[in-house]
Amino acid sequence: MVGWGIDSILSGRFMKIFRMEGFIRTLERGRIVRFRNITDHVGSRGVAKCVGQDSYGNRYYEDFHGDDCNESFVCQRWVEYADRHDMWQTGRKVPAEWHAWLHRINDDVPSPDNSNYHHPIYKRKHLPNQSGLPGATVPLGDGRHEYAKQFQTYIKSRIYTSWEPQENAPKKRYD
Amino acid sequence: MLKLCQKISRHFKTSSRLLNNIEVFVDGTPVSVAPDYSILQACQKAGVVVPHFCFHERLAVSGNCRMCIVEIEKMPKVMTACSMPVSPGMRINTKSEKTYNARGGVMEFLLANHPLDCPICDQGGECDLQDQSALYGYKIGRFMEYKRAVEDKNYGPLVATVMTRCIHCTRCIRFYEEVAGIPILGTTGRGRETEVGTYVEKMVHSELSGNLVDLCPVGALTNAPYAFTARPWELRNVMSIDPTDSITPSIEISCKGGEVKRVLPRLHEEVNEEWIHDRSRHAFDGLKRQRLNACLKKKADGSYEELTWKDALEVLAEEVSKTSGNDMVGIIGEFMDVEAVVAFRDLMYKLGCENIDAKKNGVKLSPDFRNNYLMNSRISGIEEADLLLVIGANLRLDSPVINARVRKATVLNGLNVGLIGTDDYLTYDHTHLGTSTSALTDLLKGTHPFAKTLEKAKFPMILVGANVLKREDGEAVNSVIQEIAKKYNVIKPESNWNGYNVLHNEVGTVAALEVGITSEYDPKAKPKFMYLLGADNFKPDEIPDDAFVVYQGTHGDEGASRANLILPGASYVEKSGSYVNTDGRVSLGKKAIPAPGQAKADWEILRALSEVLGQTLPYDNLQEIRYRIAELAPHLIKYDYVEPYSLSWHTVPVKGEVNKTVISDFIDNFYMTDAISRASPTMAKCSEAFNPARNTNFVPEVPIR
Repeated sequence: MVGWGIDSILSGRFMKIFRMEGFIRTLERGRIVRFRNITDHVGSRGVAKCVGQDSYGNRYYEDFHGDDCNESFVCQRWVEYADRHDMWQTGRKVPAEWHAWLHRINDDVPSPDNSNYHHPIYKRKHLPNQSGLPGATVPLGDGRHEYAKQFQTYIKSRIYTSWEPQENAPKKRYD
Repeated sequence: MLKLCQKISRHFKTSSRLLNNIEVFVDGTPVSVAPDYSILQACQKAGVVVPHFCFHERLAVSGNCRMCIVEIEKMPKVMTACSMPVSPGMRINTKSEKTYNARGGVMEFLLANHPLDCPICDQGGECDLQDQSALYGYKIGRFMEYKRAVEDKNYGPLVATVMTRCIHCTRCIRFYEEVAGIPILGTTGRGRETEVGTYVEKMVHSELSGNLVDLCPVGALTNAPYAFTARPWELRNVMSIDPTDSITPSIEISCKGGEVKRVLPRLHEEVNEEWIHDRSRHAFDGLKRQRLNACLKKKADGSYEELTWKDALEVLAEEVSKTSGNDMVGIIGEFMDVEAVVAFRDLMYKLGCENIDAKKNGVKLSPDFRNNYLMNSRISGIEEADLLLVIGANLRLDSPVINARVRKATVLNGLNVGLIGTDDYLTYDHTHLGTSTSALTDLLKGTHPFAKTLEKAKFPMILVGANVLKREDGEAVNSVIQEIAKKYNVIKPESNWNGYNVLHNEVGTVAALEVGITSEYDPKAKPKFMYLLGADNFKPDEIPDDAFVVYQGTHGDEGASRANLILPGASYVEKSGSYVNTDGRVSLGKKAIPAPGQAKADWEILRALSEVLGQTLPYDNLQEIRYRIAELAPHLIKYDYVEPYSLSWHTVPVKGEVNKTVISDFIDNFYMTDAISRASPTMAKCSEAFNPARNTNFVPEVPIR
């Protein structure tokens, strides 16, 4: 299971990662080698730097100097989810600014100590993806949409006058 | 002599037209455009926005607002983009400092005399001047003089004018001259004293006058019934279609809360371009008056008793169970959607009733083939035709939008228009062949002088008004028309042309014909039970005095005042439904506001009734009934599409004796033709203003807010 062989421990890479990430995470790095595609490269590549951590505890890594960087599909920026030990890892808790960094919309690391990245005080806290939850976004025609609920109120606000039957029937127009 | 001829002919030669695309550079990016493009069109093709006020795609270029000026390299001055044609290798600069300064200068002059009343202007929020001044205007004004003031004009009850706001783009003038065909507006005075208006004071009268409001880039001409009721950002817009016009123009219904505030046209090149007529636009306020909102039963003394849906359907079921299917008769109304017609057809057939559409004034057409009853060369075919023979339709009143297209074709393609029927000022030159059916028989014999012109035409088009086919000898007249079509080679399947067209004036009729229902009226029959499905324009002598009449519809009109039992239905803005227009195009109407009171969509009522009768119809929701429609006619669920069909097959109408009477014009008042427009206060104002002699039986009521 554990991917750290004696040779790789002795090579010094183990100690480098151990100093940066701690013992448990270092062990995980080794263990992930066999099973997870994304971090498969990590073990073979060397030491990836953790560039930051968001409010949910997700850790973001960046590595431009991997061994096989230019050769095959490699992940140069990736996220290690805080809930990675759960049954399903989800992307629902990646905040917008980190999403932008991950997907190369933005190169500035949105960590609080980065002065290039602007954190306005009026910025709302990130709302995780609500799919499958009560707060999920619904299309306009859906019955759960805000408009559909409003539409029910329109029935009361409908203004009209009803037909008043006249005693003297109107003249026949076609005569 | 020959040499002289050659010399002279040299002077008549013109340079050959450039057919190949040429390349111009807009802000450095090369664009390949047709040589007859203007710079503005080239910029639009390149995706560059050029601000403009006076330029409009469907109107002639005037170039008097000067807002679209751009810099062109190697030209000493800036040029107006809308009026300048492109030339090869032209380098257009729309983002240079010179251009910006020039636009700012023009904007400064436009704003010099424009009042600062945006907060109280109806155009606020959707105003071209507001938007463009935010982009190109200077921060401060430098003119300290007084702003000019202009007296407001009277454009009728539909268009409110605040002429001080006018920036003299002359779009309204060009619209009336070119599209509406009534050259009544113009400018007087020069410079600061310029005024747009009629030279001699009189009211502007056109069936398309509501479109002025859409054209006006500022708030000079605004929608009068909509004035000060809503702001554009408060509105909820529903993209729908309008079944009150038989071509079902695309419209945008703007609602605020549970009320329709206004109706605007949407772009649809093959149907309405971007115009709608005044009845489509303004008759919606009839949906607030005279509504049927509860089930009513007429008692013996003539008063009405209010029932719940359950009771009403039980009363109806009891009455139906008394009568056999042979004694039943139905009439399909004018604004019926396909869903209602199909549900009605299914229910009545289950009850054993064969005669579903027993109109005395129904069109005498066969539903066997689609080219028997549709506009076979399409509305856009008017622009391809070189001859149009209108039979028994006053296009200006029957379908003003089609009339605008005919006018466009007469101007651009030299369309030759002939008219049989009542003559009127149709806004273009036309030949009047005769008022009665004898003109038709003359054409068939070839003795009429117009016969030679008809013979020469390459793509002739015959447009038969529904009023002709509603006559008692409608089928005989139709057979004569078909023979004319055969003799003059109007139907040419080899060149994909069928020139035989029917212009319906009720979408309900087309929907009925599409599912195979034809109107059969038997004068000897005495039905004991009549079901009026939204029918108001029937003839009173169709209904026997002792018959039990059920009216299902929206308004308390002729149908409701005759009925014994009234079921409230939803109007076209209150239900989703598909409609077929005279073109054969199926289009989808959307629900914009809830129906009043207990009213329900028409097919839902019929479905509920079928359950009470024990003959349950096998559909529960809109999707299932549309599957049922697809079973009957698969093309009716292909929306905004005309299913192609064979042009050569058609049913030959039965020959008969043609009465040589005048083909009369059935629309006596354009503003009041149906139950909705008869209940509309705006339409009442219009017919009082424009049509005082024909304003009949409208009971004025204090409008509610």
